[in-house]
Amino acid sequence: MHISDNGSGELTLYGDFTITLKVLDLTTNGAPNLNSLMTFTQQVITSKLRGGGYKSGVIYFEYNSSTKSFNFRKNHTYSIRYNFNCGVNVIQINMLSQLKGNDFVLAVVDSIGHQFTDQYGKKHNSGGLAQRDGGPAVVSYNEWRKNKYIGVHEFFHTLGLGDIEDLSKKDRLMYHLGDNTSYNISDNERGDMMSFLMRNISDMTKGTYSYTNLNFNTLDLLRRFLKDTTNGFKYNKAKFR
Amino acid sequence: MVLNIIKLSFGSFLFLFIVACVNKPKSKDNIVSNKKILKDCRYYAYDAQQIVSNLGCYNCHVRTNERLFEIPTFSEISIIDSLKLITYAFTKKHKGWYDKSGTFKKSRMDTLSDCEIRSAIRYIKDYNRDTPPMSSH
Repeated sequence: MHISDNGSGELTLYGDFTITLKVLDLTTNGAPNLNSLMTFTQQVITSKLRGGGYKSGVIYFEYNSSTKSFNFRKNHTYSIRYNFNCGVNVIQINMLSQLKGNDFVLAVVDSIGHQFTDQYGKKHNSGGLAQRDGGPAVVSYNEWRKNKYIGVHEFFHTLGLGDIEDLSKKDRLMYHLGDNTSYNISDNERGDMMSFLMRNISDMTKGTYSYTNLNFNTLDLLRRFLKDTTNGFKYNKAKFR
Repeated sequence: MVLNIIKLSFGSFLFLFIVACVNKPKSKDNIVSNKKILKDCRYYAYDAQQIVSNLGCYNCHVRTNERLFEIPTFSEISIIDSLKLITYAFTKKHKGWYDKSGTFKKSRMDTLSDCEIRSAIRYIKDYNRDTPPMSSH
């Protein structure tokens, strides 16, 4: 991980990192198309995170490029370019013991009973649900087959993005009212996801840094999420023991 | 004598009447205007998130359990009372950086409308509330 300062208030963050999304099949009758859905999801996540992200007007600590460190006593307003080379692995797991710490997880269930009302007062069924900022994501297998982007949409909630209901933005991946015309991600949204993944930019100056956090209990979050009756998940409980 | 008293009383009454007429409609207009702004202020979670994100709150108030130095995490600031949060964000804890005369006086925080500030505060507050999960159709 490296930081480059162009001297005119723009920091470029670059380096390589890999994201792993673990898929847990909790369907009653199995999910025959799961592999192709996972491959599609991996390709889309990779392409959407490619090309970096951009955030302007970011107030942070002043960076000293000669010492490659931040001065925590002084602030500075930066534009930040995220030019990471981001590898993505979407893999299937079969045992709960394969979930650790702050792993990203996407559980596949039979159906989701949860409904939501949009800002125009219309009710919708949910094809997927997620807890933002690192939390678990869940998709209904049948809905995922109908709309292959749902897995990516839910995972991007995990990476901190919110839902869009503005009818003029039907071309955006985070638009969630079902009549999308396309599935685009803005540079700003990409910057938001990168910002979430990096969490603390100053950690980048520590050399090799692992973003693994064993104190974060994804498995427990997923357990509570699945048990929450307001979400209306139907799944094979025997697979989640 | 009586005539002078009547004149004085009438003069005072006229003066107070003019002052009252000059001031009252102005303050009423402000109240109506403020009520209209608040009535028209609808909360859109995505837009509120963009405000918070563009302000860069997450850079210092990190979304992890561990603080960046002694700076409260995003989760910690979300449990602060709404009114205190406004004071906290604009003056006290930010050492006046975002005030009209502060270091970042030109930052977008100073240009936010009342509605945008309310939305940002609600978004921050919602972070710790048991809000419905994000969904897709």
